[in-house]
Amino acid sequence: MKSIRRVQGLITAMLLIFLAAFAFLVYKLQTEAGFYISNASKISMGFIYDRNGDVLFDADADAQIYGSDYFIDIGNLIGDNSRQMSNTLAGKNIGMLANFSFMLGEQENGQASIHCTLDHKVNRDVYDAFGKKNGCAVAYNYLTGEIYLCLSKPSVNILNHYEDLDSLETGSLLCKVFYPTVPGSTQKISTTLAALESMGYDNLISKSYDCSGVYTNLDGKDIRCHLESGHGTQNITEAFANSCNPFFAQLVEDPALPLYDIEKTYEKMGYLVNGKGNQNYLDINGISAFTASTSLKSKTDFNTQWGCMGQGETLVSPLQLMVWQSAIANGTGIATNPYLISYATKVSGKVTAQAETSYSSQMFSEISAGYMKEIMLDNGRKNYASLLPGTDVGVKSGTAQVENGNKENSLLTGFVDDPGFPIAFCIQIDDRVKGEVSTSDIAKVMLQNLYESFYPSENEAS
Amino acid sequence: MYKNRLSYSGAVILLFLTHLSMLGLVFIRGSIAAPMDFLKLTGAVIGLDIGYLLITLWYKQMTYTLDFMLLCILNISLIFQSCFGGIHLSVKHLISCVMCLAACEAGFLLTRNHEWIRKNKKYIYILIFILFISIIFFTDNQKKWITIGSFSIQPSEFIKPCFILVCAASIVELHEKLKIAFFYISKDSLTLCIVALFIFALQWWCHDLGSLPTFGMIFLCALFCRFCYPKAKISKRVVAIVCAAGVLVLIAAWNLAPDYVQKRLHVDIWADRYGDGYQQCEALIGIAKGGWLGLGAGNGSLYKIFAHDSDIVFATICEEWGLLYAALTIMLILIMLMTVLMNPPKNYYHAMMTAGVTAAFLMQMSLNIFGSCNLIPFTGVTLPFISAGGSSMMSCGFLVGMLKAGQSPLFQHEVMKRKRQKQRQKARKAAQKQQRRSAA
Amino acid sequence: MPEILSELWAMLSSLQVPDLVLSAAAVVILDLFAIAIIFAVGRESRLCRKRWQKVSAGLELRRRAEQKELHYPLEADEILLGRHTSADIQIKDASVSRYHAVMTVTGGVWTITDLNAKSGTFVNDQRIRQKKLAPGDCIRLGNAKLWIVRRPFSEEEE
Repeated sequence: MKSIRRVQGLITAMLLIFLAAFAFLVYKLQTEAGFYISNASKISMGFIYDRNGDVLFDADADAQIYGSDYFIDIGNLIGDNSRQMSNTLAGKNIGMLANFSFMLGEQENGQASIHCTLDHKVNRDVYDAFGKKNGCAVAYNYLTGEIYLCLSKPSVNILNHYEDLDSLETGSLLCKVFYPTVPGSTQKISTTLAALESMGYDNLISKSYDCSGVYTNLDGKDIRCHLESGHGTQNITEAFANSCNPFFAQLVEDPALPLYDIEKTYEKMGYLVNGKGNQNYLDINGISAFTASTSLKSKTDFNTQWGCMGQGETLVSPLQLMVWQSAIANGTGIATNPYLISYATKVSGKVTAQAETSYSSQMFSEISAGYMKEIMLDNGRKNYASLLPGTDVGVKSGTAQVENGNKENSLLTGFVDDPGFPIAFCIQIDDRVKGEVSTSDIAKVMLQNLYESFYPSENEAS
Repeated sequence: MYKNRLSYSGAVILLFLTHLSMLGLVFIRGSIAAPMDFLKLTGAVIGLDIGYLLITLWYKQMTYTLDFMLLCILNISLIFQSCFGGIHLSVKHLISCVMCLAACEAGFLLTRNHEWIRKNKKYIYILIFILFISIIFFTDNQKKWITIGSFSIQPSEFIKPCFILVCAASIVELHEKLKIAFFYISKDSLTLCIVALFIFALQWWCHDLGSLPTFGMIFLCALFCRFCYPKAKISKRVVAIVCAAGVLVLIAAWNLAPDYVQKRLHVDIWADRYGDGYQQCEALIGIAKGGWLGLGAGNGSLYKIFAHDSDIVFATICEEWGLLYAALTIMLILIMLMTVLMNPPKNYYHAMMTAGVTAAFLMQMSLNIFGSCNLIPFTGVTLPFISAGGSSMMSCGFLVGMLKAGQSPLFQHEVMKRKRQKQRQKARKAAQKQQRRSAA
Repeated sequence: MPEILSELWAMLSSLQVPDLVLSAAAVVILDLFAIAIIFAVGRESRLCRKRWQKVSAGLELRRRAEQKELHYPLEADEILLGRHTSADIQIKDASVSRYHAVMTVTGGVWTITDLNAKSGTFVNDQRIRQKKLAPGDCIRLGNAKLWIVRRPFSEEEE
C-alpha cells in the first residue's frame, strides 16, 4: 500500500544514489589510474617538450646525453617525478606522463607526453644573463596566455638527484615567480589604477603635488623620496616616471581618493586586503601561484601609504605583476590567464588537454586601462627606449627593500605595445648592487631573444 | 523440489557454474604453489554449495532466492579471501561463512512473525543494554573487541540488527501522545530517540566513528518513515525542528570534532603517502595495477598491507580479479537488496525492517568502497559479506535473514493454525495410547 | 569512442587466449546467474501474491466518487483510511477525519477499527468501534461510502 510503496521509494532512491556514486568511482578510477600508478614504482614515463621540441623532462635523464647543466634553468619550474618539489609542472601533472592506461596497463613504448609553451633556448639565455646575480623572470604572450619563459635563480640541477641538497642556496627548490615578493615601486601601477578608477583621468591629471625630497604626512611621519633634492611640482605622469614617493603619499591622503575605492580596485585586481577572506591563487596547469596581499588601515597611516608604494605589508608575486600588464596592454582591463601546457598526448598518442586562452574577470575599466597604458608607455619612451629599439614598451621599475632594508631587490615589469610581438614580462634581481647587471639589461636580452624566436627569418635576413 | 513447489534448476546450475568458473580462473591465471591447497579450496566451495542447497530443501519458506544469492556471494567471498597472498583455504573465513548462513536462518526465524517480535520488543531493548554493558566494561583498550580465548567478538556489530528491529517496532506502533512542555511527543518515538542517542554517544566514546554513519543512516531512514507513516501524526513543526537540529548537530560535529577526527577528515593522501594516506595510496595503486581484468588470483601485492582483507578489501579484489569482477560482485549484493522491490513485504513492520537493512548495507558498502578509494574520509569499516571477520559476517547474515523474513512472513493466524494442529495431533496420539492401553 | 575501442582491442589481443576466455566466461556466468535470480524472484513474487490473495480473502474496497468507480486493492495487513495524504486509502472529503479508521486482516477476515474519528465509522449503517467485515458490507466514514467486495477473478489466481 501507500506506506509500503513509500518505503520502497526510499530504498530505490538509496540504491540509485549508491549506483550513481559507484559509477562515478569507476569513471574516476579509470581516468586517474595513470596518476596512481605513477606514484607506485618505476614506470615508463613520457617526456615534457618545449615549444620547439627540446626535452624539458625525461625521467631517465643523465648528464652524458644532455650535458651536466642542461636542465638547470628550469629545475625548479618543471621539477621531476621524485616528489621532492611538489609545486612544479611535472609534479602536478605526473599522471599525464605515465605510459599507462587502465585498460592496457603499462606501455613501454607509450606516447604520453606534455608539450610546453616554454622556449628553452630563450629561457636559458636569460638565465645566463643573470650572471652571478639571483632573481627570476617571466614573460608571456598577453594575447594568448602562452608562457614563453619562466625561470628562477638559484635553481636546482635535477640531474644531481638531490644529493647536493645541503650545498644548495636557500630558495633553490622554489620557482620565485609563483611566490610573494615585495613589489617596491611597481606597486604604483596598482595605486595609479585605483586613482584612475576612483577619480577619472581628467581629475587625476589635474592634481599636482610638490616634492621637496621629504614629505611629512598628516600623521607626522616622514616619507622620503629617492631623490634627496626633490622633484618639485609634478603631475601623475611625471611622478609615475620619477617614481616619486611624496607624490603618491599625498595622492593617497587626498580626500578626492577615498580609501574604500583603493580597497575595491585592489580586491578586483586579486589582492587580499587586510586579511579579509581567503588569499587568491592563480592556477597555472596545477601549479598554484600567489597573487597579492596588502593592508590598508587609514589614509593618513604611514604603513598604508608605504603599502600603496609597494613597501610595508604589501606582497605580490612576479607572475601577478606580469598578468596585470596584460590587462593594461590589452586595453580592456581583463587579464589573459597564463598557461604552460599547450597540449598533451595520451599513451595512445591522442592529443588531450589542448590549451585554450582564458581570461580573468574585469579588474578595472577599459578607460583606466587605456590611460594607464599611456602613462606606462610614456615612462618607457622617456627612460627605457633602448629595451627594444623601434617598438614602444610600457614599463615600470621598482626597488624593493627587503630584510629590514639591508638589501634591495630590483624589479621591472612591462609590456611590448605591438600586436605582432605581444609580450608582457616581469623581472626581479635579488640584492641588486649598482654597477652590476640591471633589470633593463636582462629585459634587453629577453626581448631581443624572444623577438628572434618570433621572427627568425627576418633576423637572419638583416 | 523446494517446499514452495517452484523449480530453481537454472539458478542452481548457474550458481555452481559461477563458482566453477571462478575456480577455473584461479587454476589458470592464479599462482598455485601447492595443488593440495587448491583442491582443498575447491572441495570447500563445492561442499558448502551442495551442503547448503541440500539443507535448504528442508526449509519451509516462500522464497529461496535470497538463500541462493547469499550462498553465491559467500562462496565468491571465500574464494577471494582464500587467494590473498597465495592460494590456500582460508579456514577462518569458511567458518565465518557457515556462521553467516546460520545467522541468516536465525534472523529469518526470529523476525518472520512480526506480531511475535513486536510483542517481545522489550527483550531487544534488554539485548541492546547487555551489548552496551559488554562494550563499556569488557572490551579491550580500543573499545572494539571482546577477546575470549582465541576468538574476538565485536559487540557493536550485533547492535545493528537490534537497532533496526527497534526502529521498525517503534514506528509501527499506534502512538499515544504525551504533552511535554509545548510538544506532543509519543512514548515510542522518545524511547527510540533515547536509544539512538545512547548508541551514538557510545560510538563517539569508543572512537568507533566507522559505524556511526551506519547507525545514523538507519536512524535517518526510521525518521523518514516516521514522518511518512500514516499513524505518526507528527506535525510539520516537529519535522522542521528535527531537521534543523540534525543539520546543527552535523555542522557542530564537523567543526568541533576532536583532532583525531579532523585529521581523518582532511587528509591529502598523496602528500602523506607514507603516513596516514599509506593504506589508501596503496589501495588505489593496486586498483590501477589490476585494471579491468586483474592480475590473477594470488598475484597481487596488496596482501602485505594492513587490513587488506577487511578495510581495503575492495582494492585487494580489484587488484587480483579486476575492477569488472569486483564491480559485478557489488552488483550482486545490490540485486540482493533489489529483490525487496520486486517482491514487496505485506506489512509495515517488515517494510521498515527492509528499509533499515538496505540503509545499513548501502552505508557500510559506501563507507568501505568510497573510503578506501579516497572519495570520502577513510573509516575502518568492513565490506558486507566480503571482508574477513566473524562478527561482521554474522550480523550481515542476520540482516539478510531479516530481508528473507519480509518476503516469506509468517502470519499470526498460521501460527495459531499450526498450534491447533499440534494440539490435535497430541490429543490423537494420547487417545491412541489410551486405546492401546485399554486394548491391552 | 574509437580510441576506447582500439584500446579495448589492444587489451584483448594482449591477453592469452585461455585467460581471456575464462575471464569472459566468469563474467558472463555471473551475469547469467544474476539474470536467473531475477527471473526466479519474479516467479516467487507471483507465488507470494497468490498466497496473499488467500490471506486477504481476495477482497478489495470500492468507492464511487465523481461518477467514477475507484478500486482500492488491499495489499498490506494493516490499512489506514483517512483524509491525510499519508493515509493508505485517502478519501478527500471534509467529513472524514485525517486518520479515520484502520483495517487489519487475520486469517482471511478483515476487521475495521475506528480511530476516535469525530464523524464516526459505520458498517451497514451501524456505528461501530470495531467490527469484522464480510464481503458486501458497506462502510461509511463521515459522508464517504465504501464497499468491501471480492476482487474480480484475475489470471493470477488460476
